[in-house]
Amino acid sequence: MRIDICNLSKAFDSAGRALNGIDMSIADGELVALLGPSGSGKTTLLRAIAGLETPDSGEILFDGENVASRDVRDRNVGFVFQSYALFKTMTVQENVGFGLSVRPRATRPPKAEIAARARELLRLVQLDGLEDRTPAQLSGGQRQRVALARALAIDPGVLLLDEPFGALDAKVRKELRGWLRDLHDRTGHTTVFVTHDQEEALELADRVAVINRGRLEQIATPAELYGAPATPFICEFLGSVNAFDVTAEGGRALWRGHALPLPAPCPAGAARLFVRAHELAALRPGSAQPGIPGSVEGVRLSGSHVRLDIRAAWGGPLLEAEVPILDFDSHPWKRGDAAVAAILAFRAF
Amino acid sequence: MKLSGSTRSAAVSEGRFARACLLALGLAFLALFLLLPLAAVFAEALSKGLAVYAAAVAEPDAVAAIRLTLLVTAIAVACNLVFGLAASWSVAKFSFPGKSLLVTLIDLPFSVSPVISGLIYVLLFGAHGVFGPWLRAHGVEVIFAVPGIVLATVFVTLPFVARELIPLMEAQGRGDEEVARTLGASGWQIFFRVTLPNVKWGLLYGVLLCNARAMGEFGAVSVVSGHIRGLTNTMPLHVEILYNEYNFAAAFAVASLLALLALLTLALKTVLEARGAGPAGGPGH
Repeated sequence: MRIDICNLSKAFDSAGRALNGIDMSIADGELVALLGPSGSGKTTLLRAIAGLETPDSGEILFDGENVASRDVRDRNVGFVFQSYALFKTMTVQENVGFGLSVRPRATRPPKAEIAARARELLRLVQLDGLEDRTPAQLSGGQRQRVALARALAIDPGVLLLDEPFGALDAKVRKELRGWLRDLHDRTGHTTVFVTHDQEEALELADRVAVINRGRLEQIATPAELYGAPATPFICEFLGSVNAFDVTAEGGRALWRGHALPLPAPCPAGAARLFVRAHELAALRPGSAQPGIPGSVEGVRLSGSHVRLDIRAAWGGPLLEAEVPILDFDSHPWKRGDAAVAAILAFRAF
Repeated sequence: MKLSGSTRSAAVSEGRFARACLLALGLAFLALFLLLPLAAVFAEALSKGLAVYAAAVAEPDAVAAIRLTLLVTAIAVACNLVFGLAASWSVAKFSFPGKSLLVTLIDLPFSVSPVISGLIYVLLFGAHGVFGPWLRAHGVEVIFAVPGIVLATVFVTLPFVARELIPLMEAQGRGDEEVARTLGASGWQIFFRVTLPNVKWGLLYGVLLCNARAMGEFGAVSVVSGHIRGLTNTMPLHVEILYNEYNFAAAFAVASLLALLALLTLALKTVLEARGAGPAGGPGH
């Protein structure tokens, strides 16, 4: 199902979040992430799509049809809550079969068929054998998959997931991420999920919508978002980044009274340059490439690379440079080393 | 309590004497103020033998009092079950103007003396009350009749179910109901298949407390009842009349019935709490 959201606004809700003129389209079968800091309004947007929040203005179209007058129960959305909200007085199988068992008598399948469908979905989410457990007897990851199976049971037009991995530990989170992508590719449901974890959004989604203070900053593929962020907010939100407040002058950028050595001319009117940590190279003094002179103030290991905190001799905040771990192993840095921070790439706003 | 002796550290075992003292104090207090009077009731009731006991309980006025008490309790519990569910559902699951006022008002019967509660109904429905003359003209007796006793009992026991359910429902939040709605359930389906099962143990607990109080209510009922033997006497009132007539054995016999009902309620409550603590969830979860 295709979803179009047109100029959707909502004044502050009970939790103090607002939406401000959101415009976006989600194609049939697409997997879209709503990414933003907490309190940005991303969950409110998800709930508005489901019909759990009523927007003040704007429209939501399902396959071109305005659903404003359609109640939640008639929207045919599969919603998975962050806390899963499994019915704790029912077994796993009853949970999954609930959506079918509450249908009006005319369209309700017979009991045996509901049970069979529930078991089939539990196989799909790899929980067969746990039909008669109660939610209290399941692990977090299992509960999450029951909630997903329950949402899929009504054959929803769109699957909406609120922080689907938020309550899980890092390892289970990673496993389920790949598993969800796989499930999406097999079932082909249009899927929208909310997350505050950029890594999760970039890795899992076809397109990522970045939401900040109730506004849509940009919706793009992960590669576009990372390579060509549309706003300073996205630059700062995705990955660790160094910001330089500059005055642009004839292709040069003046920072703290010095001309920043840049790999390309600085566009006129630019006020702030963003340089990602891996775009800032840490060089030994005396190398041919120009850079910002300074000294290493901190060395932090971070998985596949090492982060250096560099104090620029020109003052200002600490600069962060990323060094691949292999380079670091052959030429280690230590605190107090003199270093030159060379800008390899930048984005200007 | 499972850990003892060597597994406990020295620091903890130092407190053992203090703990024993507190325990003894608690038990002594319990025995003096709860067990002793309870035993006294049964001892006094049976002091003149089983025959006198049976006669006192089977006497027509006593039987009428028991029947009236059961009738009034049944009506009061049913009313407050419905009201308590409706009130706590609306308070916990929706926001509306006047919500905090409603929550405060629910507590009113607890904070007002039962005698005052009874007097309010006399003022409203008595012969010289606000609605009294009109009702009397239409042949409806409220005060010094069964309807008045029911009204007073409903009023006094109103908070029990709601008080039990509101915190429980608030703690559970709206998530389950919202999920059920997205899955296509109607309002009644959500209520009967999701909300009600989620609170069933808490609800039963509230009903039990309400039931216990409805059977034992004295003050408010005493004001509106008129003490007409065989007609408007509930069990507590009957006990008082017998006592005032120096018919101690009979008074304690009927009182022992009330006490038995109270003990039964207590036992049921304990069973419920044990079940509620299980994996199915219940009071407090």
